[in-house]
Amino acid sequence: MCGTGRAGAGRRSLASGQTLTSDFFFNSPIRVAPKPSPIASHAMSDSGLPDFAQPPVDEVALSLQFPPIAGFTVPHFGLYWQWVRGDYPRSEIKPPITNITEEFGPGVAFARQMRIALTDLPEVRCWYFDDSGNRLVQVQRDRFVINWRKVTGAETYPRYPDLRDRLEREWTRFCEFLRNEGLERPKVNQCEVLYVNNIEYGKGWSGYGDLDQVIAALATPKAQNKFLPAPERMSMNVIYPLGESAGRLYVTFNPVVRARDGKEVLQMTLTARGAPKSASDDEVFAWLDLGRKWVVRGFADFTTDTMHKVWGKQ
Amino acid sequence: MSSAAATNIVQPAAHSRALVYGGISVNADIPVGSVELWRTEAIQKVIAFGKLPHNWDGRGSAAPGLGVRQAAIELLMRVPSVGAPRIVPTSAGGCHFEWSVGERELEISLEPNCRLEVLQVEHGMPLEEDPNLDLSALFGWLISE
Repeated sequence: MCGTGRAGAGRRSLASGQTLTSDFFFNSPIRVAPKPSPIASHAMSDSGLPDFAQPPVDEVALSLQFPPIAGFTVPHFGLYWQWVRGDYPRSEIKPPITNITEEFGPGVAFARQMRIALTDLPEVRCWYFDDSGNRLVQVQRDRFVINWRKVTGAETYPRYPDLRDRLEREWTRFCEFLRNEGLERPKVNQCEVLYVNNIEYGKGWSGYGDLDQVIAALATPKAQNKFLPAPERMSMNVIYPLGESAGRLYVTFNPVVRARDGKEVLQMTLTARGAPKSASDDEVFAWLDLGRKWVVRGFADFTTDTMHKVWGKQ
Repeated sequence: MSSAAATNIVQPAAHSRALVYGGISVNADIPVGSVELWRTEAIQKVIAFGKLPHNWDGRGSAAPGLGVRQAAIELLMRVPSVGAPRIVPTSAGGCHFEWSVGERELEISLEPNCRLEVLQVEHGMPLEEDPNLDLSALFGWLISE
Protein backbone atom coordinates (compact mmCIF):
# COMPACT_ATOMS: atom_id res chain seq x y z
CA MET A 1 0.00 0.00 0.00
CA CYS A 2 1.41 3.31 -1.00
CA GLY A 3 -0.91 5.59 0.93
CA THR A 4 -2.43 7.19 -2.10
CA GLY A 5 -5.81 5.47 -2.19
CA ARG A 6 -9.03 7.10 -1.12
CA ALA A 7 -7.32 10.07 0.38
CA GLY A 8 -6.69 11.79 -2.92
CA ALA A 9 -9.59 14.08 -3.67
CA GLY A 10 -10.54 15.33 -0.26
CA ARG A 11 -7.28 16.77 0.86
CA ARG A 12 -5.75 20.16 1.16
CA SER A 13 -2.21 20.70 2.23
CA LEU A 14 0.02 23.13 3.99
CA ALA A 15 3.76 23.55 4.19
CA SER A 16 5.18 22.30 7.43
CA GLY A 17 7.51 25.27 7.77
CA GLN A 18 10.69 23.21 7.79
CA THR A 19 12.21 24.27 4.48
CA LEU A 20 15.97 24.50 4.26
CA THR A 21 17.66 26.27 1.43
CA SER A 22 21.07 27.48 0.46
CA ASP A 23 20.05 28.88 -2.88
CA PHE A 24 20.85 32.44 -1.98
CA PHE A 25 24.51 31.73 -1.63
CA PHE A 26 27.00 32.85 -4.18
CA ASN A 27 29.22 30.82 -6.43
CA SER A 28 32.89 31.42 -7.33
CA PRO A 29 34.68 30.16 -4.25
CA ILE A 30 37.94 31.81 -3.30
CA ARG A 31 40.67 29.54 -2.03
CA VAL A 32 42.73 30.99 0.78
CA ALA A 33 45.94 29.28 1.75
CA PRO A 34 46.09 28.74 5.50
CA LYS A 35 48.79 30.67 7.32
CA PRO A 36 51.28 29.05 9.66
CA SER A 37 49.79 28.73 13.10
CA PRO A 38 50.51 31.43 15.66
CA ILE A 39 48.93 29.26 18.34
CA ALA A 40 51.12 26.98 20.40
CA SER A 41 49.89 23.41 20.22
CA HIS A 42 49.45 21.88 23.66
CA ALA A 43 47.56 18.98 22.19
CA MET A 44 50.52 17.05 20.97
CA SER A 45 51.66 16.14 24.46
CA ASP A 46 48.91 13.76 25.40
CA SER A 47 50.88 11.72 27.90
CA GLY A 48 48.88 10.87 30.95
CA LEU A 49 45.50 10.78 29.24
CA PRO A 50 43.74 7.46 28.72
CA ASP A 51 43.82 6.31 25.13
CA PHE A 52 41.62 3.80 23.35
CA ALA A 53 42.30 1.95 20.12
CA GLN A 54 38.59 1.69 19.22
CA PRO A 55 36.82 4.43 21.17
CA PRO A 56 33.04 4.56 20.75
CA VAL A 57 33.27 8.19 19.59
CA ASP A 58 30.59 9.10 17.08
CA GLU A 59 30.98 12.87 17.02
CA VAL A 60 33.29 15.56 18.37
CA ALA A 61 32.69 19.30 18.33
CA LEU A 62 34.83 22.23 19.40
CA SER A 63 32.95 25.49 19.86
CA LEU A 64 33.91 29.12 20.40
CA GLN A 65 31.24 31.55 21.60
CA PHE A 66 31.55 35.33 21.59
CA PRO A 67 29.34 38.43 21.66
CA PRO A 68 27.43 38.87 18.39
CA ILE A 69 29.71 40.29 15.71
CA ALA A 70 28.47 43.79 14.96
CA GLY A 71 27.56 44.14 11.32
CA PHE A 72 27.61 40.40 10.57
CA THR A 73 24.40 39.88 8.63
CA VAL A 74 22.89 37.23 6.38
CA PRO A 75 24.94 38.10 3.26
CA HIS A 76 28.15 37.42 5.22
CA PHE A 77 27.24 33.73 5.44
CA GLY A 78 27.43 33.56 1.67
CA LEU A 79 30.54 35.71 1.47
CA TYR A 80 32.26 33.46 4.02
CA TRP A 81 31.26 30.41 2.00
CA GLN A 82 33.19 31.87 -0.89
CA TRP A 83 36.30 31.65 1.27
CA VAL A 84 35.81 28.05 2.34
CA ARG A 85 33.73 26.48 -0.38
CA GLY A 86 36.69 24.64 -1.85
CA ASP A 87 36.89 22.64 1.38
CA TYR A 88 33.21 22.73 2.32
CA PRO A 89 31.15 22.55 -0.87
CA ARG A 90 27.79 21.85 0.82
CA SER A 91 25.76 24.01 3.16
CA GLU A 92 22.54 24.07 5.14
CA ILE A 93 20.70 26.76 7.03
CA LYS A 94 19.70 25.95 10.60
CA PRO A 95 18.13 27.76 13.55
CA PRO A 96 20.78 29.37 15.74
CA ILE A 97 22.18 27.74 18.85
CA THR A 98 21.28 29.50 22.08
CA ASN A 99 23.97 31.62 23.67
CA ILE A 100 24.96 29.82 26.87
CA THR A 101 27.37 30.86 29.62
CA GLU A 102 28.62 28.95 32.64
CA GLU A 103 28.14 31.01 35.78
CA PHE A 104 29.57 30.61 39.25
CA GLY A 105 28.89 32.17 42.61
CA PRO A 106 26.11 32.16 45.14
CA GLY A 107 22.61 31.86 43.79
CA VAL A 108 23.51 31.00 40.21
CA ALA A 109 21.90 28.07 38.48
CA PHE A 110 24.77 26.60 36.46
CA ALA A 111 24.53 27.74 32.87
CA ARG A 112 22.67 30.84 31.79
CA GLN A 113 20.93 30.58 28.45
CA MET A 114 20.14 33.67 26.53
CA ARG A 115 18.47 34.22 23.22
CA ILE A 116 19.66 37.09 21.15
CA ALA A 117 16.82 39.54 21.57
CA LEU A 118 15.68 43.01 20.61
CA THR A 119 16.95 42.81 17.09
CA ASP A 120 15.18 42.93 13.78
CA LEU A 121 17.95 40.99 12.04
CA PRO A 122 17.21 37.40 11.09
CA GLU A 123 19.29 35.05 13.23
CA VAL A 124 20.52 31.97 11.44
CA ARG A 125 23.26 29.41 11.69
CA CYS A 126 24.95 27.94 8.66
CA TRP A 127 26.53 24.52 8.35
CA TYR A 128 29.33 24.13 5.81
CA PHE A 129 30.11 20.47 4.99
CA ASP A 130 32.93 18.72 3.25
CA ASP A 131 32.09 16.22 0.52
CA SER A 132 32.00 13.27 2.89
CA GLY A 133 29.75 15.01 5.42
CA ASN A 134 32.23 14.02 8.14
CA ARG A 135 33.61 17.49 8.73
CA LEU A 136 31.57 20.64 9.27
CA VAL A 137 32.04 24.24 10.17
CA GLN A 138 29.11 25.93 11.89
CA VAL A 139 28.87 29.70 11.88
CA GLN A 140 26.39 32.06 13.48
CA ARG A 141 26.73 35.65 14.64
CA ASP A 142 28.00 34.62 18.07
CA ARG A 143 29.51 31.15 17.50
CA PHE A 144 32.11 29.32 15.52
CA VAL A 145 32.10 25.53 15.72
CA ILE A 146 33.87 22.68 13.99
CA ASN A 147 32.46 19.16 14.06
CA TRP A 148 33.67 15.76 13.08
CA ARG A 149 31.09 13.00 12.94
CA LYS A 150 30.61 9.53 11.61
CA VAL A 151 28.31 9.32 8.61
CA THR A 152 28.60 5.70 7.52
CA GLY A 153 29.81 4.34 10.84
CA ALA A 154 32.98 2.93 9.30
CA GLU A 155 35.10 6.06 9.74
CA THR A 156 38.03 6.19 12.13
CA TYR A 157 38.06 8.92 14.73
CA PRO A 158 40.80 11.32 13.60
CA ARG A 159 41.83 12.18 17.19
CA TYR A 160 41.83 15.46 19.06
CA PRO A 161 45.12 16.92 17.78
CA ASP A 162 43.77 16.71 14.22
CA LEU A 163 40.52 18.43 15.18
CA ARG A 164 42.33 21.06 17.22
CA ASP A 165 44.57 21.84 14.26
CA ARG A 166 41.54 22.09 12.01
CA LEU A 167 39.79 24.49 14.39
CA GLU A 168 42.93 26.55 14.57
CA ARG A 169 43.16 26.79 10.78
CA GLU A 170 39.48 27.51 10.27
CA TRP A 171 39.31 30.04 13.10
CA THR A 172 42.30 31.87 11.63
CA ARG A 173 40.64 31.85 8.22
CA PHE A 174 37.34 33.08 9.68
CA CYS A 175 39.07 35.94 11.47
CA GLU A 176 40.87 36.86 8.22
CA PHE A 177 37.52 36.87 6.46
CA LEU A 178 36.07 39.19 9.09
CA ARG A 179 39.03 41.52 8.81
CA ASN A 180 38.65 41.54 5.05
CA GLU A 181 35.02 42.57 5.51
CA GLY A 182 35.96 45.31 7.95
CA LEU A 183 34.33 43.49 10.87
CA GLU A 184 35.69 43.20 14.37
CA ARG A 185 37.61 40.14 15.55
CA PRO A 186 35.37 38.18 17.96
CA LYS A 187 36.38 38.08 21.62
CA VAL A 188 35.77 34.50 22.72
CA ASN A 189 34.02 34.31 26.09
CA GLN A 190 33.02 30.61 26.25
CA CYS A 191 34.59 27.45 24.88
CA GLU A 192 32.96 24.07 24.54
CA VAL A 193 34.25 20.57 23.91
CA LEU A 194 31.69 17.92 23.03
CA TYR A 195 32.24 14.17 22.68
CA VAL A 196 29.34 11.94 21.70
CA ASN A 197 29.95 8.24 22.36
CA ASN A 198 27.57 5.57 21.19
CA ILE A 199 27.75 2.47 23.36
CA GLU A 200 26.16 -0.35 21.42
CA TYR A 201 24.25 -3.16 23.04
CA GLY A 202 25.89 -6.54 22.67
CA LYS A 203 29.43 -5.19 22.89
CA GLY A 204 30.43 -5.86 26.49
CA TRP A 205 26.88 -5.64 27.79
CA SER A 206 23.51 -6.89 26.68
CA GLY A 207 20.91 -4.55 28.16
CA TYR A 208 20.02 -2.18 30.95
CA GLY A 209 20.21 -4.95 33.51
CA ASP A 210 23.96 -4.93 32.80
CA LEU A 211 24.46 -1.20 33.24
CA ASP A 212 27.04 -1.81 35.93
CA GLN A 213 29.11 -3.45 33.19
CA VAL A 214 29.23 -0.07 31.44
CA ILE A 215 28.99 2.66 34.05
CA ALA A 216 31.48 2.27 36.87
CA ALA A 217 29.49 4.25 39.40
CA LEU A 218 26.21 2.50 38.82
CA ALA A 219 24.92 -0.84 39.94
CA THR A 220 21.21 -1.26 39.29
CA PRO A 221 19.30 -3.65 41.56
CA LYS A 222 19.75 -7.21 40.34
CA ALA A 223 16.54 -8.93 39.44
CA GLN A 224 17.34 -12.17 41.22
CA ASN A 225 17.38 -10.72 44.73
CA LYS A 226 15.46 -7.48 44.44
CA PHE A 227 11.88 -6.47 43.80
CA LEU A 228 12.59 -4.50 40.64
CA PRO A 229 13.23 -6.31 37.39
CA ALA A 230 15.98 -5.28 35.01
CA PRO A 231 15.27 -1.76 33.75
CA GLU A 232 14.16 -1.20 30.18
CA ARG A 233 15.98 2.08 29.78
CA MET A 234 17.95 4.60 31.76
CA SER A 235 18.84 8.27 31.43
CA MET A 236 21.28 10.14 33.62
CA ASN A 237 22.75 13.63 33.92
CA VAL A 238 25.75 14.41 36.10
CA ILE A 239 27.49 17.78 36.37
CA TYR A 240 31.00 18.42 37.67
CA PRO A 241 32.80 21.71 38.33
CA LEU A 242 36.13 21.97 36.54
CA GLY A 243 37.81 23.74 39.45
CA GLU A 244 38.83 27.38 39.82
CA SER A 245 35.52 28.31 38.18
CA ALA A 246 37.00 27.29 34.84
CA GLY A 247 33.73 25.72 33.74
CA ARG A 248 31.71 22.54 34.08
CA LEU A 249 31.67 19.03 32.72
CA TYR A 250 28.25 17.66 31.80
CA VAL A 251 27.95 13.89 31.50
CA THR A 252 24.72 12.47 30.14
CA PHE A 253 23.56 8.98 29.32
CA ASN A 254 20.54 8.66 27.07
CA PRO A 255 19.12 5.90 24.91
CA VAL A 256 18.91 7.20 21.36
CA VAL A 257 17.83 5.89 18.01
CA ARG A 258 20.84 6.49 15.80
CA ALA A 259 19.79 8.48 12.77
CA ARG A 260 22.11 6.83 10.31
CA ASP A 261 20.94 3.24 10.83
CA GLY A 262 17.95 3.28 13.18
CA LYS A 263 19.81 1.28 15.80
CA GLU A 264 19.05 2.01 19.44
CA VAL A 265 22.23 2.66 21.42
CA LEU A 266 23.16 4.14 24.78
CA GLN A 267 24.60 7.55 24.03
CA MET A 268 27.12 8.97 26.47
CA THR A 269 27.70 12.65 25.88
CA LEU A 270 30.43 14.60 27.63
CA THR A 271 30.38 18.37 27.32
CA ALA A 272 32.99 20.63 28.90
CA ARG A 273 32.08 24.31 28.78
CA GLY A 274 33.63 27.38 30.35
CA ALA A 275 35.45 30.66 29.98
CA PRO A 276 39.06 31.02 28.86
CA LYS A 277 41.28 33.24 31.02
CA SER A 278 41.32 35.77 28.21
CA ALA A 279 40.16 36.04 24.61
CA SER A 280 43.68 35.50 23.28
CA ASP A 281 44.03 32.53 20.96
CA ASP A 282 46.59 30.94 23.25
CA GLU A 283 44.22 31.06 26.23
CA VAL A 284 41.25 29.93 24.15
CA PHE A 285 43.09 26.88 22.88
CA ALA A 286 44.54 26.22 26.32
CA TRP A 287 40.96 26.08 27.62
CA LEU A 288 39.96 23.67 24.86
CA ASP A 289 42.86 21.43 25.88
CA LEU A 290 41.67 21.61 29.48
CA GLY A 291 38.11 20.80 28.45
CA ARG A 292 39.28 17.89 26.34
CA LYS A 293 41.32 16.55 29.28
CA TRP A 294 38.23 16.63 31.50
CA VAL A 295 36.16 14.91 28.83
CA VAL A 296 38.68 12.11 28.30
CA ARG A 297 39.40 11.55 31.97
CA GLY A 298 35.70 11.82 32.77
CA PHE A 299 34.94 9.21 30.14
CA ALA A 300 37.56 6.86 31.58
CA ASP A 301 36.39 7.41 35.17
CA PHE A 302 32.74 6.88 34.32
CA THR A 303 33.13 3.69 32.34
CA THR A 304 34.26 0.30 33.53
CA ASP A 305 37.45 -1.67 33.02
CA THR A 306 35.33 -4.25 31.22
CA MET A 307 34.32 -1.70 28.59
CA HIS A 308 37.83 -0.26 28.47
CA LYS A 309 38.97 -3.68 27.28
CA VAL A 310 36.25 -3.73 24.64
CA TRP A 311 37.42 -0.32 23.43
CA GLY A 312 41.10 -1.32 23.44
CA LYS A 313 42.46 0.84 26.25
CA GLN A 314 46.20 1.24 25.80
CA MET B 1 -18.66 15.80 -1.51
CA SER B 2 -16.85 19.06 -2.13
CA SER B 3 -13.14 19.17 -2.66
CA ALA B 4 -12.76 20.88 0.70
CA ALA B 5 -14.45 18.06 2.52
CA ALA B 6 -12.46 15.85 4.82
CA THR B 7 -9.69 18.37 4.79
CA ASN B 8 -7.69 19.53 7.74
CA ILE B 9 -4.82 21.91 8.01
CA VAL B 10 -2.02 20.95 10.31
CA GLN B 11 0.33 23.68 11.37
CA PRO B 12 3.37 22.60 13.34
CA ALA B 13 5.21 25.40 15.08
CA ALA B 14 8.14 26.19 12.81
CA HIS B 15 11.58 26.10 14.41
CA SER B 16 10.14 25.67 17.88
CA ARG B 17 13.31 23.85 18.87
CA ALA B 18 15.26 27.04 18.42
CA LEU B 19 13.88 28.22 21.75
CA VAL B 20 15.87 25.68 23.71
CA TYR B 21 19.56 24.93 23.76
CA GLY B 22 19.89 22.51 20.88
CA GLY B 23 23.60 22.09 21.38
CA ILE B 24 26.48 21.98 18.96
CA SER B 25 26.00 18.37 17.92
CA VAL B 26 25.02 17.94 14.29
CA ASN B 27 24.02 14.30 14.36
CA ALA B 28 20.27 13.91 14.30
CA ASP B 29 20.11 10.99 16.73
CA ILE B 30 16.74 10.82 18.46
CA PRO B 31 16.66 10.59 22.27
CA VAL B 32 14.21 7.88 23.27
CA GLY B 33 14.85 7.60 27.01
CA SER B 34 11.29 8.58 27.83
CA VAL B 35 9.67 7.62 24.55
CA GLU B 36 7.13 4.82 24.26
CA LEU B 37 8.20 1.62 22.56
CA TRP B 38 5.70 2.02 19.71
CA ARG B 39 7.07 5.48 18.96
CA THR B 40 10.64 4.20 19.00
CA GLU B 41 9.78 1.39 16.62
CA ALA B 42 7.90 3.79 14.34
CA ILE B 43 10.94 6.07 14.20
CA GLN B 44 13.16 3.11 13.37
CA LYS B 45 10.79 2.15 10.58
CA VAL B 46 10.93 5.64 9.10
CA ILE B 47 14.74 5.62 9.25
CA ALA B 48 14.73 2.25 7.47
CA PHE B 49 12.82 3.84 4.57
CA GLY B 50 16.08 5.59 3.73
CA LYS B 51 17.56 2.21 2.82
CA LEU B 52 14.90 1.38 0.25
CA PRO B 53 16.45 0.76 -3.14
CA HIS B 54 15.40 2.72 -6.16
CA ASN B 55 12.32 1.16 -7.74
CA TRP B 56 11.45 -0.44 -4.40
CA ASP B 57 7.81 -0.76 -5.49
CA GLY B 58 8.45 -1.84 -9.07
CA ARG B 59 7.11 1.49 -10.32
CA GLY B 60 10.37 3.38 -10.42
CA SER B 61 9.79 5.08 -7.08
CA ALA B 62 12.55 6.57 -4.97
CA ALA B 63 12.96 6.14 -1.22
CA PRO B 64 11.71 8.99 1.01
CA GLY B 65 14.49 11.56 1.21
CA LEU B 66 16.27 12.74 4.32
CA GLY B 67 14.09 15.83 4.72
CA VAL B 68 10.91 13.78 4.56
CA ARG B 69 12.26 11.25 7.02
CA GLN B 70 13.26 13.98 9.44
CA ALA B 71 9.84 15.61 9.15
CA ALA B 72 8.18 12.23 9.66
CA ILE B 73 10.20 11.65 12.82
CA GLU B 74 9.30 15.11 14.05
CA LEU B 75 5.64 14.33 13.43
CA LEU B 76 5.93 11.03 15.29
CA MET B 77 7.50 12.78 18.26
CA ARG B 78 4.64 15.30 18.39
CA VAL B 79 1.56 13.14 18.06
CA PRO B 80 -0.28 12.06 21.21
CA SER B 81 0.28 8.57 22.51
CA VAL B 82 -2.64 6.84 20.83
CA GLY B 83 -0.74 3.77 19.76
CA ALA B 84 1.28 2.65 16.80
CA PRO B 85 0.28 3.92 13.37
CA ARG B 86 0.57 1.96 10.19
CA ILE B 87 3.42 3.58 8.28
CA VAL B 88 4.24 3.10 4.64
CA PRO B 89 6.39 4.93 2.13
CA THR B 90 4.52 6.50 -0.76
CA SER B 91 5.36 6.07 -4.39
CA ALA B 92 5.86 9.84 -4.57
CA GLY B 93 8.71 9.70 -2.06
CA GLY B 94 6.70 10.63 1.02
CA CYS B 95 5.43 8.84 4.12
CA HIS B 96 1.88 7.88 4.98
CA PHE B 97 0.56 7.30 8.51
CA GLU B 98 -2.72 5.71 9.54
CA TRP B 99 -4.13 5.51 13.04
CA SER B 100 -7.30 3.55 13.76
CA VAL B 101 -9.46 3.66 16.87
CA GLY B 102 -12.77 1.84 16.65
CA GLU B 103 -14.62 3.04 13.57
CA ARG B 104 -12.44 6.11 13.16
CA GLU B 105 -9.30 6.50 11.14
CA LEU B 106 -6.88 9.36 10.87
CA GLU B 107 -4.59 9.42 7.86
CA ILE B 108 -1.67 11.81 7.55
CA SER B 109 0.44 11.94 4.44
CA LEU B 110 3.76 13.70 4.36
CA GLU B 111 4.62 14.72 0.84
CA PRO B 112 8.16 14.92 -0.55
CA ASN B 113 8.09 18.70 -0.10
CA CYS B 114 7.21 18.17 3.58
CA ARG B 115 3.63 19.33 3.18
CA LEU B 116 1.08 17.51 5.29
CA GLU B 117 -2.25 16.17 4.10
CA VAL B 118 -4.84 14.91 6.54
CA LEU B 119 -7.91 12.78 6.08
CA GLN B 120 -10.46 11.78 8.72
CA VAL B 121 -12.53 8.68 8.09
CA GLU B 122 -15.48 7.40 10.10
CA HIS B 123 -17.33 4.16 9.31
CA GLY B 124 -15.28 3.93 6.12
CA MET B 125 -16.38 7.35 4.83
CA PRO B 126 -14.29 10.53 4.60
CA LEU B 127 -15.63 13.29 6.83
CA GLU B 128 -16.44 16.87 6.13
CA GLU B 129 -14.92 18.65 9.05
CA ASP B 130 -13.61 21.96 10.27
CA PRO B 131 -10.49 22.46 8.13
CA ASN B 132 -8.64 24.38 10.84
CA LEU B 133 -8.03 21.62 13.31
CA ASP B 134 -4.57 21.18 14.75
CA LEU B 135 -2.82 17.93 15.59
CA SER B 136 -4.19 17.80 19.13
CA ALA B 137 -7.73 18.32 17.89
CA LEU B 138 -7.35 15.70 15.20
CA PHE B 139 -6.13 13.08 17.65
CA GLY B 140 -8.75 14.24 20.15
CA TRP B 141 -11.36 13.45 17.52
CA LEU B 142 -9.78 10.07 16.86
CA ILE B 143 -9.98 8.89 20.46
CA SER B 144 -13.25 10.56 21.42
CA GLU B 145 -15.49 7.91 19.97
